[in-house]
Amino acid sequence: MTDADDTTVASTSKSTKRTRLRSLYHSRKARQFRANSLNIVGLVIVLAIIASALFAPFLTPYDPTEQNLENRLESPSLEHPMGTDQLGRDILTRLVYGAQISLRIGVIVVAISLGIGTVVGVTAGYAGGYVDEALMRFVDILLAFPGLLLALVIAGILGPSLTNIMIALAVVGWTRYARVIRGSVLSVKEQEYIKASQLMGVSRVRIILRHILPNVIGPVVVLATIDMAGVILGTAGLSFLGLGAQPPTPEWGTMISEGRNYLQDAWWVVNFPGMAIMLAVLGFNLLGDGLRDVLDPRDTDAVQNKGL
Amino acid sequence: MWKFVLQRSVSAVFVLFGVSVLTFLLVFFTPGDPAETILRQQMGGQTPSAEAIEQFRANQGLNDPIPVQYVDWVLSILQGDLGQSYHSDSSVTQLIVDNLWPTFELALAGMAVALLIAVPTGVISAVHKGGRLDYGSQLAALLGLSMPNFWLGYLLMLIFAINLSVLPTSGYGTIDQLVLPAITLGTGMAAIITRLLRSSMLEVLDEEYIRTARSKGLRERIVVYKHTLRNALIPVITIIGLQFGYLLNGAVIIEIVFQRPGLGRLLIDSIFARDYPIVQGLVLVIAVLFVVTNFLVDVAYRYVDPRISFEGAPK
Amino acid sequence: MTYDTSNKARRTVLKTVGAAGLVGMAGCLGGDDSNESGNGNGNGNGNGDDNPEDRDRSEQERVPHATIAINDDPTRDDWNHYGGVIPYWTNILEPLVWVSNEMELVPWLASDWEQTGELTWEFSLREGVQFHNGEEVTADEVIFSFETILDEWVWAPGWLHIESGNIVALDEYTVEFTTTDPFPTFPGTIAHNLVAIQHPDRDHTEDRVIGTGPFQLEEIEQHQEVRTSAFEDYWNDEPILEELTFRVIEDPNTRTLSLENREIDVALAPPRSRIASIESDDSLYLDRQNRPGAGYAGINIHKSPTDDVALRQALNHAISQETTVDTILEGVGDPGRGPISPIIYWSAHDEITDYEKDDDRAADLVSESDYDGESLEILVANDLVDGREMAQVIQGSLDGIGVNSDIQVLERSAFSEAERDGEAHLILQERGSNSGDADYIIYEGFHSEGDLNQRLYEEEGTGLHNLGGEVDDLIEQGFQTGDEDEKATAYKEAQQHIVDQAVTIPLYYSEFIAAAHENIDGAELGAIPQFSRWTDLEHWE
Repeated sequence: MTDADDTTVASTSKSTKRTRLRSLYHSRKARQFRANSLNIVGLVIVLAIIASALFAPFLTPYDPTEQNLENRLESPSLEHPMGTDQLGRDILTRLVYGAQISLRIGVIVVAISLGIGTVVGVTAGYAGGYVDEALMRFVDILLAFPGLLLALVIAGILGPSLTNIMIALAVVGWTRYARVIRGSVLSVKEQEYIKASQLMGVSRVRIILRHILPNVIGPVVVLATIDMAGVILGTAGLSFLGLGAQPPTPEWGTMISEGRNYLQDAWWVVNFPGMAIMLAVLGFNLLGDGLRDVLDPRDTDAVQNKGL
Repeated sequence: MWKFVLQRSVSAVFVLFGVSVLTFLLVFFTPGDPAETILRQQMGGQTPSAEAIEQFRANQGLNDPIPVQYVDWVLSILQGDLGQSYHSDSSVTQLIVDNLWPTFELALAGMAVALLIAVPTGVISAVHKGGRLDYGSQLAALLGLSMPNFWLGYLLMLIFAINLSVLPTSGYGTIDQLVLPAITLGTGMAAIITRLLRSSMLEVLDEEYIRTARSKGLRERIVVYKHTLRNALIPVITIIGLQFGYLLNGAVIIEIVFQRPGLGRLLIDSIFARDYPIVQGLVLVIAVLFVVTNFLVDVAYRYVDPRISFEGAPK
Repeated sequence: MTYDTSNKARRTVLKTVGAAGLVGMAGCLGGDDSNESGNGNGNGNGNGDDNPEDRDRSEQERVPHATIAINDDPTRDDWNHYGGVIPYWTNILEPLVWVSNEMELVPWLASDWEQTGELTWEFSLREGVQFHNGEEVTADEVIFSFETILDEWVWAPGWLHIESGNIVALDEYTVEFTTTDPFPTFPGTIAHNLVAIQHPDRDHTEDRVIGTGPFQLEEIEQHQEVRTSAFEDYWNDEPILEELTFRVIEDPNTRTLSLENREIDVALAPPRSRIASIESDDSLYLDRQNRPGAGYAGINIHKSPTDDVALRQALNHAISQETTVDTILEGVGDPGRGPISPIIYWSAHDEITDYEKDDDRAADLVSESDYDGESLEILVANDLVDGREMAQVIQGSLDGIGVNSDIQVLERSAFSEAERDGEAHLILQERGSNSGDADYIIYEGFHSEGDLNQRLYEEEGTGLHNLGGEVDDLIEQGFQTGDEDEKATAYKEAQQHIVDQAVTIPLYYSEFIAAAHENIDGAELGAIPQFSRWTDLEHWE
């Protein structure tokens, strides 16, 4: 193959990509998503948070842990748009870097929960019988504990650290994925073409990968998005209680906990992190709702669980 | 109906058994040898001697096989004995009983606040479906859901106790000390109920007899409030029962922020003090309450809402 | 008794000190003739311009009641043997010996005492002192009170160095104590609120507390409030107030908010963050009192790389105590130079050399040392007031001289474990005395067999902050002598070694503060805060 051929292939695939994107943008579902302006608000908030996490070092000239005791507790100004905290650190900088932490925890916890949930859900749904019964009863048992209380106890026993918070939240979090995925697997399994493939001797793994998993993506994406909100809120809550980040990590919940003594004299120390948590949670909730309307038309009636 | 109740009872008993096993095993996940941990606690951080540990293990039955220990533990719980706190002279049962009412009171007040906010908002939202008021109230509900309780609590404290000086900052005992915690707890729950009520209202508004009522020329408002709301509230109220877990999650933070006694506070204090018998007892009691409430709600829901069939109840 | 800034930890710490069982030595200590003692740089009341004593009250009328917010729940249920309250704070129960703000022992329910033999102490009781139930205090009740403690707390015999049966009545008003081993600091040790004298009829099931204090119990509201009223037959100056309520508000911020909201009249230990605004508020004022404690980062001298004295000295040069006190601590406390507060007469504060803040010198020392970029672990308990902030300031300062560190904040019991296991390089702590005897601060912290060092010393022959050898000898020497000059000489020399070898990074000397409404006069904060007195408290309209 010559160089010229390469370029052509590349440019073709680029333009197909563009066409695909354009057709995605004009698709019925995308239009449906855009019709509700709250969905757009959610998407914008989430994108903004992701962007600030990714480009944190370019967004601010300060270091999130750099102290300046002479300039502590300064009110918002041009130099420090959200003021400085009790150690003279720039709050905006800490919030922006804090977005990295919250998102990272959110993604990791959701990924672990999703991983365990998928394995358990697919196994239960596909195998059926005693395996299904045993796995789902175990899920029932875990769901018998109010989620965040169990996370609290687990994190408390393991000791304060962000890793332990992630473990605790994942232990509590995977059960809902397992249920949703099992449900989808069950409904897909009964369909004719799956039965046909089975008869044709297509391997189980292949059936699961090719036919079953694509069908459960919709509800799972919705659940994962809304779960991001839950995990961010849960992390902040557990950190507020002192079970999470160690100083000087700019974790949002920890910032509120450490700043609460300054509530009256320096309102910015607590209220900006509070708003950051609220915005992030709101963004993922709105986005999740929007995606549900589009991807998961059966109203799953999933009531969010506001945590701590 | 009875078949359904029986089916659910069997499954609830099974779950309770699982819950008790998990709770029992909780202590074995704690780092270190429980006997050594307990003795260290009792001796204030001193390393206990090997003989002391061995004697303690023998006395406490910690050398028995784990299933035997589990059976002993369950038998004493069935007699109402959840064990003894490491730190204080009180029994775990006594501590839980002492702290039950403050949390219950907070939960009731929070629920009242939630309904006060959620019923009008949910109705407005449903009646004006797709309109600005609907968007506005949906957004408000989501805001309530997204605000961390620990921030909201401090914010309310700052506004009502400091700036306006109309309510006490914290404490427990009087009605006015209950207001801010109840609002903090209530807003999050209001958000959930608003969303539920909205969809439930929309469903009912769509039903045949409401359309008939409308066509008969009854004034819109009467239709909405009298017929729709009454019918829409039935599933909502039953589902509120399921929010028990939310109430407890919220109570932990709120009891810390507002300095109230209660189960949540007891749990946090015990976790920090590594007073594992209390943690174990509380987790068990909470889970049992949770399972029992869910069971009752499940049954009640099907009882009040005849549209749901009893055959093939979802698992 | 050490104190910690935490409530929950107090009992644990108490046990620790008791169980550690000080090695007693021969010697004798005179009675209450300790009339000479340096009180360091103590200052009484706070800011000059609205000093409550200067106010003109001629136009105002008295209000007969007041409410004090305390952080320490006196109704925790493990105090059943005192009828349901901890003898701290409330002035309901009193010990035999009191402690003055200069850390001197003051005859209280005992009018006099003397050492009559190597192991024996004779205490003469004040005659005519009445319990709240009208009965007189005699030797029998004193014996009952001590026996109750010895029976109740397994660690009490180790703490007090007496065992059950070793307390006898010589006559109605004379009690003889026989210690298990020579224990020169016995009177100072029992000058502690927890060694209170009570009547045997006390009963926790009926909330019946029977002490001798100026205030008697009216009602307990578990975990919320203790309501008291003036005891008319009090043996000492009768209280001015008719009713005094102690409200439990554990969160320091809420305590101050309640004060600003006028729900309470006095808030003990307001958070440092609120000090500036309390001082600028005309309706409030601050009371300050130095206490016999100090905050410092103890350095693990047996763990690499902080086993290198050059590195330890470098760390000392990296920290500015003045900046820390002025900023994070909001001026509460004084910049520290050593681990012993100058309010204790044998503190070497005036003699020891100060490691000035000097980053260049510090950097030189770092390069002289074997330090090679390792990360030092800074351990701090989550209930140490402003501990997180101080740890971060230390971390920032170490950064400035090229030394890396990680912070580990743990809850109290996990902290104690990690501390004694020697997991950290720097351990942030505040240590002080809750009794008239401060000797064990230096013993438990810096002697090889002291509580902190014992575990590692016995298991591995190392320890944490124990230089061993000569320092152990000096501490023992100071401990066993009854002579104040001799004690001071020995302890000061020990401190000199501790500072020269940079075993600690001193941070501050502790100060106790209380915020009060301007209508309140006469709060007498104790150097040991639990010894604060409320008899002269006045509340004006």
